[in-house]
Amino acid sequence: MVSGALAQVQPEPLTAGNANANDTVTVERPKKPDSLKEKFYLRSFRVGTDLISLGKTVVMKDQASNYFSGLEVNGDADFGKYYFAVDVGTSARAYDLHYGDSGNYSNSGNYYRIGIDINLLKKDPDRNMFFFGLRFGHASYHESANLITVNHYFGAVTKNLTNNSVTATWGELVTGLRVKVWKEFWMGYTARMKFLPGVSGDTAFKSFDIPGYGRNGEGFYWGFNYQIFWRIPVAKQKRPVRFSAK
Amino acid sequence: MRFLLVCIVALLLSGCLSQPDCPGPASNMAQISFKNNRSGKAQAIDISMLEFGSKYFLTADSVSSVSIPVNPFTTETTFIINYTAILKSLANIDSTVTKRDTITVGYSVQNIIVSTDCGAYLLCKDLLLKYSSFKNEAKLVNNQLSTRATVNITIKL
Repeated sequence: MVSGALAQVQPEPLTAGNANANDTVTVERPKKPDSLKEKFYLRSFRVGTDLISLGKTVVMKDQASNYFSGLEVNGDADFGKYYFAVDVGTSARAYDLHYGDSGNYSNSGNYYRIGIDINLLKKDPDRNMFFFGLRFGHASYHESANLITVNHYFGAVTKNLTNNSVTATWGELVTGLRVKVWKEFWMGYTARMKFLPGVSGDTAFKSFDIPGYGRNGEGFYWGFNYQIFWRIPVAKQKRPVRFSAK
Repeated sequence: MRFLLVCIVALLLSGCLSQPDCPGPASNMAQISFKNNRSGKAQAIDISMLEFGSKYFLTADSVSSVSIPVNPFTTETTFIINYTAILKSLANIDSTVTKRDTITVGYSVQNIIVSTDCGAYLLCKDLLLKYSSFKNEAKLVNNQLSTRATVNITIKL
């Protein structure tokens, strides 16, 4: 801290008092103390789950016209400023189309997301997080639809269609908070802007709902998770050295 | 930094504005345009009866183009056009022609669920001109079907 203050007072090269005007003495700016840098090493793991998926499963598991069952496990590894994040989930959905007039749709499958978060709260002693990050998502699933299609000129037709083995990839821009609540218990949320879904294997009909992503279509898709975590420390946290005046 | 945060939040919120529109009932229309074989200009014809699939439409309108729906439950539709046209000869003399001609188009059909509110929809695309009994040139100029006033096939009379 003392050497840092000196650097601010003497930002320009110094001129020696008894030397000529052309002679200059250059003083190098001292490096910051190591204690203020976020060193890159593994500090802890956090493992948690998404409460919204659990809540929706409880509320919607008995609704035939709007069924949902899902579980998502979230984890991250604390490397200082950077966090490596992984989400793994399973999801099953079924719902009516146009109140049942157009048939119904169902899917079931698994997904994962991997990516990196950057913590913007650099000096928080509890290592609370306000972060931005990127994710790569991948899902493999099957889906089926009972479609009733009505045409003004040619009448109505009902088709039972199935996409047996569908895979999808996408990207996400994420932001959110992680807050230490009690000891190693943490809570937080993640807002997701999902984009560029790429689907293969949807031969019978255009894939409609991607597990872990949402509705397949152009543009962005919005997602939100409210999560709880348990932190597992790996290395003891090195706190910045504090100097006290005597 | 604040500006960056505002931009990111605005970008995130834009995901809420992505609700699709329901397609109209006549999204799978093929538009056929009639042209004079000599001048290349629009040629009006009086269509007395128009048949497609097992549907019949009687009309007495004088038109230079007509939009006809293709059958989304098959991959091929045949249009039969009964018409009368007044054509100019080389000597600039009008001659009245009454004919019955057939044109067959092919296409691929994709099943699409638009949204839970709109339901399912059959999208016909990649239009092909398979057969024409018209004496002169019949040409595919656009293979995408739509509700818009876009000519798909031109026929010279």
